[in-house]
Amino acid sequence: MKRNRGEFAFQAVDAFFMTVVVLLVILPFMHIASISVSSSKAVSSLSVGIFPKGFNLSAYIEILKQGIFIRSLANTVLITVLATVLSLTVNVMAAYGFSKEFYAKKPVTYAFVITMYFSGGLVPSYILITKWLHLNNSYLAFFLPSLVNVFYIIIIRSQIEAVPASLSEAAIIDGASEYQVLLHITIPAISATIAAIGMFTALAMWNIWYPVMLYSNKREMWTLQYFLRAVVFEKYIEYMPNSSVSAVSDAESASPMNFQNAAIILVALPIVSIYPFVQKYFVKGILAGSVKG
Amino acid sequence: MEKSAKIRFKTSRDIPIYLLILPAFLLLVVFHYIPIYGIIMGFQKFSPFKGIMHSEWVGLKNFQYFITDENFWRVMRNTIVINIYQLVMGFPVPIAFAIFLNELTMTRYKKFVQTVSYLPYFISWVVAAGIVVSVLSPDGGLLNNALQRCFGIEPVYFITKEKYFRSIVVLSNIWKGFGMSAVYYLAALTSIDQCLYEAARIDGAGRMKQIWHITLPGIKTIAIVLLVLQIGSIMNIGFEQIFLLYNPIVYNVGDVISTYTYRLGIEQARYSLTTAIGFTQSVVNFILVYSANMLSRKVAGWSLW
Repeated sequence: MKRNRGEFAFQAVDAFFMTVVVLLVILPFMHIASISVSSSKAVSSLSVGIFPKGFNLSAYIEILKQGIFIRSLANTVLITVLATVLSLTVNVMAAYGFSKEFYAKKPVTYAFVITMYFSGGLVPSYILITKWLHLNNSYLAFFLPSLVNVFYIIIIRSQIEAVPASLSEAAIIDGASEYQVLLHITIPAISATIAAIGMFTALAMWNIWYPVMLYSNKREMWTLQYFLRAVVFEKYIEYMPNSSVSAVSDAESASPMNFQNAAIILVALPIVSIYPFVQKYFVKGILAGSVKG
Repeated sequence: MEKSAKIRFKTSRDIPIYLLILPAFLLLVVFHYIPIYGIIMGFQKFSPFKGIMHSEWVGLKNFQYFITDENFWRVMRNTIVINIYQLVMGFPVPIAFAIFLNELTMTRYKKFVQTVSYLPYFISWVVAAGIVVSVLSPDGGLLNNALQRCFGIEPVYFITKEKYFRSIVVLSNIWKGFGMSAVYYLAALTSIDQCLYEAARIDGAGRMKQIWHITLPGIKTIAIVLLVLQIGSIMNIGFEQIFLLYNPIVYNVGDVISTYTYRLGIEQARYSLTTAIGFTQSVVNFILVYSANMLSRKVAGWSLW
């Protein structure tokens, strides 16, 4: 009896702490969302907490009407899809190669692994891309340098090596080439790993903005994150509607604070609504990466 | 001659494999090895117009310059100090979270808490930093509003105060990462033999005793590995978070190597000096990460790659 009561008390305290954790994560999001949809009058009185005061969607409507947001979104989608497909292709091909025995495998492996430990640094890469390859103001500069991921290659290789050799041997006896084995046997067998790594890659590409800052000075090349950075951190108000005094007096229009917080919500929304369904792949991927290679 | 004969001997098997590896290899050569070659700019007075071939050699002058520059030591100190804070404050959080989440018997709620804890991991640093700035804002930010209402404290512009900046960096980093870091520990927890708990209960051990004597030893290995690897990256602080959050007012405590080299190398175009700093950081990093990995392999028989 005593044990049960103690257990109940423990569960209650534990559940309380976990609820505090949940609130620490969620309340900031609620705060941002509340400001974004509150009336501009309530926002400028600085009194909006975690629940909206009044209701006002004009900031969202204004942002969605703007070419620059749509353009940034389109760029981001395009870069994410293209870079993820290319990256998976290149990394899976290499991983399959490394799962086989071949001449000079050791030095080639070292040539790959060294790049995980050592890099030339920011400036040599910058000089390479801008002065030698002339990739500034090209989308290629955003994702080409990070396309190969040796860590992913190692994870995929270890998964390929776990595929029963009898499968591919049978196919080779039937006259299949190396490429046919890869395409029709290996890739289907490790599809879960490929999906997980594809999602890590896609998330990284979706969040790209640093290369945009480094290599592009054209507004039509902005990505979603770069757009948000401009709005929130550079006070990019050129596109803010009625950001002058009139906005504050008119309850129906958006104040700069409405606008900034609505931009945060809009940029976060796609990921926030997708992640509960794909989280298991990320967890799997993180644990796969921790298996020694 | 003998070597080429050897290659020809395996052509039918090797060529298809080389072709598979080739795209990745070429990309690494261009985007990793050419920049490594570019490190020689650090030993030159590099001019983009003259190029690497015709720029003047200056030996170790660039290295001498930054080693005597107090700005360099300032960013060095900030990088290491913020990392130590991160280690001390951030390391126990996912462990505690994983243990207490694991103890929860309400399965549905457990799943919910876990899903929520991943949320900050998935958003970008731009979104996260935007949230931090908004929540800490003196103009109606959540924290200032709460402090004012509960304690009557006047709004503080946290993000511009030297004494708060490092804490903001560390806490927002913990906020963003604790859920995903807990994944390692949760996996280790599920692999602990449940019989141990059974036996402990029969022996009359309470909840806390069980955690101390069974749970903590059960996650010791993974904890050591993660700790060692985190120590190995003590010279590294991600660029994005600091760059988005800092401002010139807090450079003194918040400017780190990655943000400093960005300003110096890209904004001020001091290519040679920044290459020299980057090279030094790379070398130190290489030694740290490599030995951390070796150490974790030795201590725990387990490493991240």
